[in-house]
Amino acid sequence: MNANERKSISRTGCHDRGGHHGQGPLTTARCLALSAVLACAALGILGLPTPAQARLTIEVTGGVEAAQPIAVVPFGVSEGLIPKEDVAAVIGADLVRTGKFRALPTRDMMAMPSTAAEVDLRDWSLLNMNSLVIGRVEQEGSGYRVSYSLFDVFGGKEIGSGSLSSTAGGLRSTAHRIADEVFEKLTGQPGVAATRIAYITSDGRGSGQTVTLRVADADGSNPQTIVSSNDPIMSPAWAPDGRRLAYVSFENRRAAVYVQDLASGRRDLVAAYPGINGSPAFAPDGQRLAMTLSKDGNANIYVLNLQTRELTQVTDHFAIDTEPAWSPDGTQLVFTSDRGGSPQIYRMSAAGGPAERISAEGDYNARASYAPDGKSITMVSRINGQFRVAVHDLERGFTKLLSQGDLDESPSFAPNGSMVIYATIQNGRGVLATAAVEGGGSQRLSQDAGEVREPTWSPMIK
Amino acid sequence: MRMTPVKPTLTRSPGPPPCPPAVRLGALLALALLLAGCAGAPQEPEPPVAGTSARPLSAVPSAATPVAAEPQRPSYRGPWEDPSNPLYQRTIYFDYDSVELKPQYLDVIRTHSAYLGTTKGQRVTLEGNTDERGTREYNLALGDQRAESVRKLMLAEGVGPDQMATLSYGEEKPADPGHGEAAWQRNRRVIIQY
Amino acid sequence: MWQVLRDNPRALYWSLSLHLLFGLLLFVSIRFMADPTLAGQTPKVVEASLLGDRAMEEMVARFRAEQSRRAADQEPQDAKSPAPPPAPADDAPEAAEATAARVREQAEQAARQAAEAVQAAAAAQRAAEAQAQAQRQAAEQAQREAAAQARRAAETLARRNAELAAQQQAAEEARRQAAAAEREAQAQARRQTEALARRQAQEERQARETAAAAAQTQRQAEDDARRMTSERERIRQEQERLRRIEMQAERLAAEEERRLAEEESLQRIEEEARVLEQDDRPRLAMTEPQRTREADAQSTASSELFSREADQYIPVIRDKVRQFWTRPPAQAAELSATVSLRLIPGGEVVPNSVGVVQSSGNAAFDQSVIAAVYQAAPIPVPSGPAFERFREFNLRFTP
Repeated sequence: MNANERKSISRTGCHDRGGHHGQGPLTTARCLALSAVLACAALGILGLPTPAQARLTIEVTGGVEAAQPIAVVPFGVSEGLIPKEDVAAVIGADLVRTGKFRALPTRDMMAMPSTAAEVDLRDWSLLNMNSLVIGRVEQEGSGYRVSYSLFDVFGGKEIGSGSLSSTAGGLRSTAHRIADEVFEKLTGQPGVAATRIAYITSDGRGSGQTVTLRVADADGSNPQTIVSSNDPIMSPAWAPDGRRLAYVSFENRRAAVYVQDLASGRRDLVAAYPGINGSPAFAPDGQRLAMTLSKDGNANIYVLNLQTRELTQVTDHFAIDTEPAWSPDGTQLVFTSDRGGSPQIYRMSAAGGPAERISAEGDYNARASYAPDGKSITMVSRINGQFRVAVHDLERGFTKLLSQGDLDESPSFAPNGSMVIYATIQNGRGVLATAAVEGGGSQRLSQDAGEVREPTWSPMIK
Repeated sequence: MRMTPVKPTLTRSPGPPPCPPAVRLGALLALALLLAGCAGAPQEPEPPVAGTSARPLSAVPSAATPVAAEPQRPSYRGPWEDPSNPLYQRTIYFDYDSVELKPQYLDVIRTHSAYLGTTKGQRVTLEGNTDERGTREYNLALGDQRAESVRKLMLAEGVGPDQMATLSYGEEKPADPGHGEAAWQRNRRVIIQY
Repeated sequence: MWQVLRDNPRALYWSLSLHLLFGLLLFVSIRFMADPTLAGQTPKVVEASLLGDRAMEEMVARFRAEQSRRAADQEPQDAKSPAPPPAPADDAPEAAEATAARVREQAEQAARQAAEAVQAAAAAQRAAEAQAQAQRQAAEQAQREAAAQARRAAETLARRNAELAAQQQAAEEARRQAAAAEREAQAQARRQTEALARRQAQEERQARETAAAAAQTQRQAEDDARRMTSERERIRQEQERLRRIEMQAERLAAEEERRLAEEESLQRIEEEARVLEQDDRPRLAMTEPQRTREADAQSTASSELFSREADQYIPVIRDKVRQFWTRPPAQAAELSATVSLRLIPGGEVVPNSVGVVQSSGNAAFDQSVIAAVYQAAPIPVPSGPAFERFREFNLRFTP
């Protein structure tokens, strides 16, 4: 049994947690308890009550980490209604994409209840489903009303429900919201199915090339064009309110940073200095923009106040300093610098000052950005000549590789910190991929024609 | 088929050769046709025996139209577009992750510096590029550094600072979109754009 | 050339044969690459199931009893009722087919009967009409006789005016009665035809019903057969699974017994050492295997005081439940959930008895723990008095 225990323990990656923290007092207490029990037993065994009164507790450790089975039954519809979206399919795909769930295929379902009265949980426990989602779509005016219920199959009861109203064209985003509510109920974490991503697509080559900045739902559907050009567009960055995008555009054969309002389409030219104008990053307060400028001779990081248009230089080093990213509390900046000879990740106060290196291994680490809880960063690391996406835990100091390589870049955290979206090459074409930070879920997002790159995940949509 | 014993006279007489050329040729022809017939697979296209004769006889000028003495001179915006001009060579290539100017390109830079030194009204943009490896913004800075190396040399060679602007495209405008060392080599460059 | 050929006949033969060969090859085409042809047809897949189950035989007997009962009902109307053929001790579909054929035959017979009934009705109707007509003729006859009587009475008119009147009245009376009798006869004839028609319709309806019932029994037989096969399949799979788990539990129990002896001695030494060392030297880096072994030791130690036999089952239960536990990918690995459960002798989990005593705070984690308990059923437990400790107990899960 020891061998099995050890095997199961190594599978769970206990060594990653570095289980040598803070266990001292517990084990000492346990020793004391054990010896106390033995002493008492040795002294007065004869007068002890019958065994049945001492309740037995068996410890079980280990177990296999796996996606949890869930059944999302196709939603019932009112008579004659054919909704434009298959709500249950969207919910199932959203839950599977998180990497934490495994959805039951429709063809394996033995029953299709759509109201709580029709549910017989025995059907679903036979299929070893942990949770069940049912629902209905009904006509409401010119739109719909979508109601759902979430059941704990083995617990035998309903643990969540909701009723949302939706416009005629907003059925898909309502399905995303339901998926997020189900995800939050089951895992305690907010879901990100109702958020959006911005990315760059390019079609054609050379002078006939068209580069477009687009915004789509987190699953890649409903793409909308924000700006399109024959010259390169780079580095999209979301404002914290999710309503503006900053990006670099090479229109008119010069680099410039623009901030565009998504609702109105109006844009503001905020930087067009000689040399590099790149890498825009909004501060968490939405008022300041960090960016890379080389107007003073070499690439350094500056912070622009969007209200006053005051420009402050933050780094002042002859080496390349670029790709700034703000910490969630707005006090720190991580950035890429090759002041040590090769590109590595450094951290410094947003007000300026000395920079400390935080990437430990490898000869190339770049494009760092913080997780929403501020405890880890994701970055691009070169391992054995391959560029891969990694997540670095700032507190414990270890790095975990998320992608397979070999030309992966532009990683961006989801606003709940559970997934990272990044760009990769598949069959010679640029596509996007998501990877779950814990567990193994991953998905690909690609276009029919052309390439996709530089994804960035929006903040939580309020 | 039973073989009758060979008459000994045949070996002695010098007679005609055992396989007359006519029969040999016929056998070879038959063999060739046999192979062609048994092929079954799609036939090879017939050799273009008559191809050359189908070319239009444009080399012979017809008597009606007068032939021009020499082709029309195309108009260039400047000497750098003329392939026969040394200024046509405008690209300087670099090694991986390096911003050092390689010695074989110093002459190119000097040629352009000389031209710009004498033509004070002419402006150029030094466009820096990298191959696709690495992150995009870092490559932007790397391309900028490459353009900067060229600019510093040209300054030293006497070009006025207001004649030059640098622009880095990083990996955004590759000359070769492939994913191998051959393509990457062609993308690590600075272009002197007039 | 001819000289050479004459001199050398072998050359002649060779050249001739070669010419012939080339000629053949030129003008006759041979396919060297023949496509592989299918050797015979693909076999038709027949869904067959084995009989021999008591349940199946009962069902077949039941079906046959019903069948024979229905056949007995139709017995008086059948000219020839085929005896139900003896059911073979083989495939149920075949028996169902035979019975269906039989029923079909009977339906045909019923239809034939209906036709005959129709014919009989027609004949009866004709007889009624003839009868009515005869009755009408009889009435006319009576009428004529009455008229003659009246004429005779008229000869003695002077004497018998009153008698004449009475006789005329009587004649009218007789006419009226005759008309009434005629009407009645007609009505009776009509009633008879109606009754015949009704009976004919009823027979037709009966014939239709028997045909429908025959079809339904046929369908039922097919459904039953299908359900039987899927039931048996499921039962077989369940049995397989249970057998596999039993074997595994037995194997684990045997291993545990072997290792328990070593563990106990080792553990006693360790306890003594730990008791000696248990002052304020902090024990850093307590690795996972040691922690679980300690946990094992703790639970094993406390139960050792009570019953040794039950002890041997604890590691078996722990391993089995761990095998069936798939937990959600953990964000914070310090989750821990405790559930209580009730068992019946034999190890089956009492339905709805698994409850969370201490939640981990994560609903998906709690769900996975409860699922593990249900899926690990039946839990390997001892029998007899040693089972009492496992009638109700807790399981604490930590990743």
